[in-house]
Amino acid sequence: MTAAFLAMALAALLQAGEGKMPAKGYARLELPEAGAKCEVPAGWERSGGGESDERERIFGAVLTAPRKQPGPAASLSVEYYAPDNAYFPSAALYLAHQGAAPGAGKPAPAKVRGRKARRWTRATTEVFPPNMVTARAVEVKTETFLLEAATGFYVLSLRAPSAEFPERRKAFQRLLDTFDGRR
Amino acid sequence: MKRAPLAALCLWLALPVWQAAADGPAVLRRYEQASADHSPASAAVLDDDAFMLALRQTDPGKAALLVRDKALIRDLESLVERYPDEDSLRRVLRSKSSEFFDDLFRSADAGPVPEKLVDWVRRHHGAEPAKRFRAAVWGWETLPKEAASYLAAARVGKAAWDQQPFRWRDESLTKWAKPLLEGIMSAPTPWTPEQVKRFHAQALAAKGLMSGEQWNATWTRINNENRLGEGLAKMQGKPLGPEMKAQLQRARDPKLSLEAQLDALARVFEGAGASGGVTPKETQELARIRQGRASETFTPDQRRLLADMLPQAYLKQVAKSGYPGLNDYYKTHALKIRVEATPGALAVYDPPTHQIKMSVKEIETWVRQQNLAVGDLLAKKEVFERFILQSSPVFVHEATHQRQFEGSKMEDANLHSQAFEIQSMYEQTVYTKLLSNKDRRMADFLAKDAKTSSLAMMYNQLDDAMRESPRKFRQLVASGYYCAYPSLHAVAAVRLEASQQQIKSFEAELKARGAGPAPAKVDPAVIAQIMASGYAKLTPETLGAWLKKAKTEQVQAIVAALRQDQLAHADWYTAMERWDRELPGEMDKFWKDYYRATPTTRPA
Repeated sequence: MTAAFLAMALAALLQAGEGKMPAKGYARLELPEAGAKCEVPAGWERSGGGESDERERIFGAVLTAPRKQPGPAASLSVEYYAPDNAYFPSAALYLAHQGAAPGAGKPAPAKVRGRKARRWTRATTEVFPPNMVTARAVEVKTETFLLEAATGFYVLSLRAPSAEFPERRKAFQRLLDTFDGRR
Repeated sequence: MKRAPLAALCLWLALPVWQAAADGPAVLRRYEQASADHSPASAAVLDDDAFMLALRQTDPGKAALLVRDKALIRDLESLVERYPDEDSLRRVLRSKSSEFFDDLFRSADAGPVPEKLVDWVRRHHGAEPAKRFRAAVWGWETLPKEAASYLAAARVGKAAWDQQPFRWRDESLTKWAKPLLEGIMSAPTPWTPEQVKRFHAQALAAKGLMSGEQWNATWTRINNENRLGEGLAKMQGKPLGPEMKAQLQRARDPKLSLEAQLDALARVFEGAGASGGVTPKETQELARIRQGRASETFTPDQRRLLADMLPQAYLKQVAKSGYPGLNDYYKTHALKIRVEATPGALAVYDPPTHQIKMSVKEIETWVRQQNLAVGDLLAKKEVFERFILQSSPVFVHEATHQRQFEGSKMEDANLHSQAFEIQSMYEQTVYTKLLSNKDRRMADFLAKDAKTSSLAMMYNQLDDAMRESPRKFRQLVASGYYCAYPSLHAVAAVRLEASQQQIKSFEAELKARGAGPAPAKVDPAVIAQIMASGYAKLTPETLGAWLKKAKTEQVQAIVAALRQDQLAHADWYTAMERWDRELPGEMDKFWKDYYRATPTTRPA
């Protein structure tokens, strides 16, 4: 009877989508201020939040991967731009600005769990070590998905050194496949 | 730059005194309440001008202490927000003085055990930042697995570990990592590919224990060894003349320094050229890291000559860009530039001497990268103008520091903080934007040398972060460029605490003598007399002997002077903190005017 009760309780939770266990190697990321949740790799360091989120009305988190070598680390980010955010009054303006950055590919229609989105990639360089003439350029690739919300919009992205990008893409795909934005 | 720090300071001090309605007991009651509250929100008391002025009048010492305590809370808040990874957080924690570190925990209602700090973070910010703090202070389960056997051999277990303060933990692990890091730095060259791989793994295992400088030096060594190994492999078996063969032999000679080996390799590359399968880019990359040759190295006279040429040239360049304010500033302030060694920096501003020091090593590297000699830089107009153009953003950065220190009337280098660096990087980026909009040569330099010039790389990276948003720009500067710099809050708290310790020791002396309290104000002539007696040169070791001989009125005068000094620093902090809070708004406006309004058009 206990087992049956547990099975029923589990089934109810799964149905509600709340009790679903994250895939192996992943952890659930919940962002109440952004009205979003998704799965991200376990062990990646989370940052973001705090006073500047509230000041700029951009809510979310950045997940940073353990470094493979000195220099820029791979990171995933989930951001919700509230309608009154400090920078972009609309998703269209965000797209016009960020989607046209130097090194960006042409934004193309895409879907994230059935939701309409725009996707583009961008190649840039970062400097390491910073602030020294002996610094070298590290090629970095960014992939971005822009999703309009009922109010405001979401930006989901992966940024990684180009050499590391293909293996990090799997983690980003998991984030996209589990992304649940309620706005 | 809209408003200099001095203006902010004057504004704060000019607040009408009548606001400080003197209701002594009520003011002190509020002080007690505010002191006992260690929540993040409690720091807002510093924004209540009427109360702070009343407290300043009722008890100036308590006003200064309240500023110190709330600055500590704000510093903790900035640690939570600004440091995205445990290593950078640990570096900034490590950079704090030991007294300050203990104070940090004390103000957080905790003892010296790091886990209490973690509890404070968890209570006020939740589990995620607490996890990061726990790793930063070396929580037992977060230790590098490679350190486990070392600790087991030293018979250190979890229970003992948990009782130790952060510095003890950090020092214990540093002992473990020391031979690993020394092994990397002292291994004879050239390295085999297997050695490169092994040292790379060791450096990663010990990365959390390295200072920013160590981290950069270790990685530079690994990178340069890798470059040497690759270069030697590339030239292996190539038909070379006798001279090139001798150079190749030198490049393999472990008795030479790595830089000298790289120089020999560079000579082989230069000799081989395109017909030998070497690209100009490969030669240029080696020029960045190899030893300088005699013609690429400044003599003392050449350094002085260049230093004399720089001020006028930089000001002329800045004037052409349309960047406002700087040329007017130097009409009334001296611009002194030196060309000197500035380890680990492109340039520095030295507050006590009011000098901007440009790094001689970095200028020599620039000369090598251009495939020129120092004499060319000094004698050829076109080369000199190119150098001025490309390095002028660095000058604007340092000039901003000069304005910060001179403007705030506090020329103590210890007051340098991350807030100053964020503003200087911002001004540098504004200037670069204006210059590249006006001067095609700068725009070309940023576009064409984006992958070969580290100056272009840095300017482009900052521009790109600003283009994305001022928020990203601040994050990049704080965590990517200046993560080990203390916050403005930490700088102020440390300074106020140092004064407090001195005041306490002198007051103890007065008490022991049964003397009355120090006067509220002190005659500057008395202080001048004390200073003339050699007081300023006393050390903690010689202070006791001096104190025994000092007259009671001298000790009282010193206490009064220290209190005035402490209060001046509290006022300085209050003004600086408000000035710093206005900067994001100014950055937003710049971004809207220069970036959002005209998003970069896609190239055809």
